[in-house]
Amino acid sequence: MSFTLRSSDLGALSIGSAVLGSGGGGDPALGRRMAEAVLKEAGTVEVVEADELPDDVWVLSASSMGSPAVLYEKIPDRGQGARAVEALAAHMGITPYAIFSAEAGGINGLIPIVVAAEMGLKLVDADGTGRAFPELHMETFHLHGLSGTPACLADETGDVVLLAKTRDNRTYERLARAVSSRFGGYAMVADYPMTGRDFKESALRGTLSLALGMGRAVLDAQVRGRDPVAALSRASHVNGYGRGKRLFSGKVAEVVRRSGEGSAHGVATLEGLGTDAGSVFRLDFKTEISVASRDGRISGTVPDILTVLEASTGLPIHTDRLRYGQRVAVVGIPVPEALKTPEALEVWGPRAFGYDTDYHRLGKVKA
Amino acid sequence: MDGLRLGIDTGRTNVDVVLMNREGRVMAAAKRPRSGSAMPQAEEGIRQVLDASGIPPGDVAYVMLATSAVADALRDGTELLPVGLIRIGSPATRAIGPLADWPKPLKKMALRAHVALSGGYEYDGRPIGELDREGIARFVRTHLGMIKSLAVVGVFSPAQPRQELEAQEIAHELAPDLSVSLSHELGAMGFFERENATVLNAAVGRVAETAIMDFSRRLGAIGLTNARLYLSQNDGTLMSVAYALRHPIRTVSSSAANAMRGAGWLTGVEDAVVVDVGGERTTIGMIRQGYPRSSHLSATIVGIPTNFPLPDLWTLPWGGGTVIGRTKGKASPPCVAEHLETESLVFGGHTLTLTDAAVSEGVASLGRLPKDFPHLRARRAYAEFRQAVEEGIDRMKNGPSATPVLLVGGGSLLIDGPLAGASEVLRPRYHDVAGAVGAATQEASGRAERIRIEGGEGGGTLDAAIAAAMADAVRAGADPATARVREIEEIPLDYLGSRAERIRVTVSGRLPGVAS
Repeated sequence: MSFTLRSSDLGALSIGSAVLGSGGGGDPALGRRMAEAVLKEAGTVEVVEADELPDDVWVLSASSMGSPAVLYEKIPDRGQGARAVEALAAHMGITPYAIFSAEAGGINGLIPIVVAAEMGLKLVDADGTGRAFPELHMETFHLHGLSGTPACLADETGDVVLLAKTRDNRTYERLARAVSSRFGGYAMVADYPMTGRDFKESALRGTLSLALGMGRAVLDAQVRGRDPVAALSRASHVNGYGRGKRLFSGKVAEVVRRSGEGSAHGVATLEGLGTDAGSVFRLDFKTEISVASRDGRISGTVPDILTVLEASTGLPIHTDRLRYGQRVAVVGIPVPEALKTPEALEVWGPRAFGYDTDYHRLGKVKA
Repeated sequence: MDGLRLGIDTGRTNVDVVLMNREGRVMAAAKRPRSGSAMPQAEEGIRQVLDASGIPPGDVAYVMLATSAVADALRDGTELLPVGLIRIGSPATRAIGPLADWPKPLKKMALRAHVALSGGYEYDGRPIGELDREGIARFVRTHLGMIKSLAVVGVFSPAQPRQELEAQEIAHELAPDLSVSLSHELGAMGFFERENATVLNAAVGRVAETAIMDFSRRLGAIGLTNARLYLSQNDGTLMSVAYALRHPIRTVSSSAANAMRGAGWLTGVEDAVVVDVGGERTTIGMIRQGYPRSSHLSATIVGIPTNFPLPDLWTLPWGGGTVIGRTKGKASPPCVAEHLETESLVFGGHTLTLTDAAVSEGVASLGRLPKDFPHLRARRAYAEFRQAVEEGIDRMKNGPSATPVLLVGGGSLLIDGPLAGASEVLRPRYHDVAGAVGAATQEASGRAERIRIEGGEGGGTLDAAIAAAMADAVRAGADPATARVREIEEIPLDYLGSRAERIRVTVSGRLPGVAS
């Protein structure tokens, strides 16, 4: 069912998007401020379900790519995302029916709202990752043989670069990365243009309402003085996602970071508290958390969502903010089966991130 | 008698004063309850310590003041200057208007006009566009009558301040007396937080000036004619009066850092967790080499996110005046800190406070326990307080190994060792005026930030960052001969497509003529 998204939803949506970020994806706070600024004028955005899309309409993705640190210093121009979408539509000679998110996790859970509101377009409650991934070809659309290009990248000055055609989506990622770097660190992107029919075959349904529901559950639990972690775990059990599993409760005992490979790599070690006392938990992250293990045995891997929540508030902690002494709960949320086929795991299983392990189903742990 | 110094710390409930000799030993201390304006109490406290020590006022060489004037003005929303804001970087930054996170009334009071003009830099130092000099002049001319202070915020100015400095020159050509706040002097990368900090700084200019002038007059009246005045800033270092007048917002919350510095100084322990127990709350932090560890999260001031270097603190809603309610343990805001000596049970009052609980638990010996004292309720609450402190210590430590714990503050008598995670627990003499000791024993400091790009063009170097931080420290009042690099942080920029990192350098140095 379609629904109306308002400014007052953005707080909850930011929390849920950060959870889907799986420790990364960029802090949604900036996207939230941008969306608030646009909705002050536009009022609301109409959100439609994927299945409500007619077969023969055009939809495309709006997102940001590049360095979050640069994004937070060189704030975008208003209308910057819309310029990418308009240029792509003009190149293709189409009129987009709706905008969708390429990546529901992290800041890109919010950016499509900004663009949809600016352009007065509908927003689809579905995306191509169901979480956060670092590269542009890591999309369910890619698995379905759909092309990221033609794509347009816009900077704040009015410059727009069109990537008319690339031989494959990995090449698209490489070229787009170079463009966003030369733009000064990031770009607003319009890509994966497709028909309603193709979208319905390839997209992950209901990821925006999932994020919204999880965020609301956390906020509601905070107000009522209930356990926000448990509330979040219950709220994740919709739209093909499994119920969240509390994998570990403890405190951060050590964080080791390695830099220089383009993203923040590292390992966080947690010491158990309460019923987990005596156990040790390890999180391997490349911005997003890739592998979680308990006492040396793997309890979860990418692409399932592995997120660290502040124990008392249930608010997700980005991996670059993990620090000794934080009281946390690690929650694993099983993602839909479409993200875990052998073909999918080729693209975003643990080995795709350089870890020498296969995908592990989330351990059976009490919720 | 050279090197004699006075430290003054203005807290919410007390004004503390210490007189210290050249070696940094406390010669006399005073603690005065604060009612309304702190300045008369500070003056009285100074007279008191001078009398007690018999030191002639003319012998005092330095006065180090931690003032709450700016914090008070922001809390009450009074005496703020109308600010004009110039953003440099347009068309970048236009997706979000200025001061989006401010409480509405404060925003309305402070921000009178704003404009986004072209200019700004990319991360690698290339200009985004040419600086709109005419636009700056037009804005200043148009709004000269209605603004008293100008805030200038440029994209990537912390790494490349040139355009902000140019904007200041243009403004001063048209209005030589207009006070101008430049964002690169006030915050690190992160445009919004820095913009907030810069507008706050511009808005509190008059408050700080009035307070400093008032205090200087009082110093003159006491006869402290040979003393040089320094102001204590948020990160536990000092700045000269001239520097403080340019950066008044940096005085906004120096008390926490002062207590931590003071704890380290009084015990001689430079790496430790500091537990500062006050009347309303307990603040826990970590010192490294005698300096508070800075927070990496955005620090909020009256609800406004900023990115000043503020100490990393863990605050508990427990202080000597915390009221212990009937509901199980939950420490709720009610607090009788200001009237502890009439309200609490051990002093014959009718309210069960944390102080009473500490007495009944045998930790503190104060007053007298009444016959019908609710021992069980007190015990439960006290255990909760103690556990919260131990958990806070564990949170603030750098790692799992046991660390010295320093107890300071008027309420630190309410807790004692052993404490979980502590290798030793020290409560130094003069613990109740640790903030004033901290103010009196600080160094001056400076900071700078650059972006280094590996194998690429543009950007800055570590040497350039160090040179800029040194210059900043000397402007703040450090003796160039003793200025040294205290901290270098390197933070990689993710997903850039090329390898680059932010380099942040902090430099500290002694005040000229201070031996230690």
